[in-house]
Amino acid sequence: MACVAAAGVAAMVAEALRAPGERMPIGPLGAIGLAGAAAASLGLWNHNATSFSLVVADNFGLFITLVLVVVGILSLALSAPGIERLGLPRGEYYALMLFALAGMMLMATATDLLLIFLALEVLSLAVYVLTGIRRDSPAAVEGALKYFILGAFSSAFFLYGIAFTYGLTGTTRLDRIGTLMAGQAMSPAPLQLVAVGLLLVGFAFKVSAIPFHMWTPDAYEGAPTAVTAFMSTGVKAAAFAAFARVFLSTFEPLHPYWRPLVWTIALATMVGGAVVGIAQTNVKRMLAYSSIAHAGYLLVALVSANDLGKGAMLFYLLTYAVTNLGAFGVIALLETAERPFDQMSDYAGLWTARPALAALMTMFLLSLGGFPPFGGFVAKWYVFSAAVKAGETTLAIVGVLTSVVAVFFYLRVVVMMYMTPAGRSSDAPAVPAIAGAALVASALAVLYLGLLPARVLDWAAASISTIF
Amino acid sequence: MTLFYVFAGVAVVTSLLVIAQRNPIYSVLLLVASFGALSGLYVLLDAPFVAAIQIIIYAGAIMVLFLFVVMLLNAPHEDTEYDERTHPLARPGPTRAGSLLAVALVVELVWALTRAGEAPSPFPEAGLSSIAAIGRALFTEYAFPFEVTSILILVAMVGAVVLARRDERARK
Repeated sequence: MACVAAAGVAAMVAEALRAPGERMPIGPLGAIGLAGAAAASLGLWNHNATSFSLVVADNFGLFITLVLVVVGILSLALSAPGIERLGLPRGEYYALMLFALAGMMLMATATDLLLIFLALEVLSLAVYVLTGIRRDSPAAVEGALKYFILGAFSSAFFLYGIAFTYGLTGTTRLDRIGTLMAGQAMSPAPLQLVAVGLLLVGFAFKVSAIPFHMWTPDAYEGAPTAVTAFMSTGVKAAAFAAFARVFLSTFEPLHPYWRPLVWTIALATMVGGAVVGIAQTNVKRMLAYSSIAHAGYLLVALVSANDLGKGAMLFYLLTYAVTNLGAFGVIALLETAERPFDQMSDYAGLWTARPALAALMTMFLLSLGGFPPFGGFVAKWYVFSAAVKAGETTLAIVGVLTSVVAVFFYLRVVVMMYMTPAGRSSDAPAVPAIAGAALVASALAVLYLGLLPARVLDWAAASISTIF
Repeated sequence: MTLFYVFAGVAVVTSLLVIAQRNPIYSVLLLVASFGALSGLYVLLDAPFVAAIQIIIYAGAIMVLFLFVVMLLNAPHEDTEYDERTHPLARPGPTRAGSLLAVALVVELVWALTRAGEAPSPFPEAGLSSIAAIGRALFTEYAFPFEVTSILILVAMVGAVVLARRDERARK
């Protein structure tokens, strides 16, 4: 009973959408599937059910699943106008998005390296195709090709790491590997360290951490903006879930070896994302670099793996998901086939043409920058205080400094919207009701997470304590 | 033992012929023959599963892909811009890179073979990999990942169709 339900958490979404060719209202159908997944996750809360001993519905996995449900519903709602204006194949688009979501949920709940790899591939393949789904646009093709080739490389690294681990331990189950690691923590086999390094490369690629971030700006720029919103949040959440599960529980005994590496990557990612972001004139590219920087902050939470840091990481993932979806969502609503609306100058005078969208965009950008009273502030505050508590003062200081740098480029868009006279932004298309509602909902979520974070924080801390 | 020499001889001769051919299509076909001989060697080594995989994946799927690429590029003959008599290491471009890689491989192999048996392998001894055992594991312990693979393939198919389909708007 519990087994079936636990497997269903991941599979339901895919099952709900098995007929990709049909031209029916697929969007709402997907929403129903996601609602089902949400209901199942809530029903399984605290049950700690496992199925096939390969998938586990612990509270950590369920928390990520719920975040992914939120990501999924918002992306589905934001996709509709884009599909129409860009002339994308509707059925395939939704089907791929839902398959990707199913892969992500599976990745968050899998407890077997092999299954994590398969889930990773399911979500990656779907996202590669979604990136290049506008075949008539050279930017989309370029982004998709880069993403695909580099992604295939990183998958190979990841698989290589799994193969080494299996060769050394004779199993791919995370719990058994963890037991073996704990036994040989003092003197691990050199090959095991190689394996951990290879797995680290695979994960770092998926969360777009520097120096594995090369694909990010191109893929984010080329993809239809709703897809960018989806992949910048969903892929990151799923990858961080598996990252945390593998490194904080299974390879926990080896942390003296991998911690300096992750520390360095986190530092490089924060600095690189923020500094290169300043130079961008394309808003989508700028947000891509901002998402790289945010991956760095999440890695800080992973490095300072104390109780505060682990809870902070989940909270950060949720906040980042709703905020980034909102920011990209605004762009998605302004995007048309003729005009991508992604240049900085496109935003001149948006306040006079579309005051509601401009106000929402301001909120999302300020939250990304970490201003109170929005969710981004609380999330950053907890991550940095976790870092200080864990003795990683350098990381915390660099994090605060790069946040200040990042504020500069977020504010540039805001200044553009309010203080520069309108260029030609008055021709922006109408906003459909559902997409508008999704934006307002994510804005409310950002405010809620900023003003009353205590309940969600407790929830996050409680859920992550089930696995570590 | 005779069988070993037959398979080994075929593998070595065909591999040499692969690089001696001017026509890339012959090279590809000879590579298929070489892979077939290799899979025979795997059978002799008591690894029937690896042999089957070798045939299905390498000789089957990957080589067909190679053939497609060769035919798509429409390159019946290799262009040689360099002097045939120069030493391979002195030639420009890909030839030199390939020769360097070959030298590196030889060094590596010699190093590995001379040291073989010195240190115990870091990998624990694995059981016999019979096809039946693999099948049993696949459908019992790994049944769920197996099913996930089907979703993966479905995604790949949908994706391929989306990307390769003729543009409807362009046709109108």
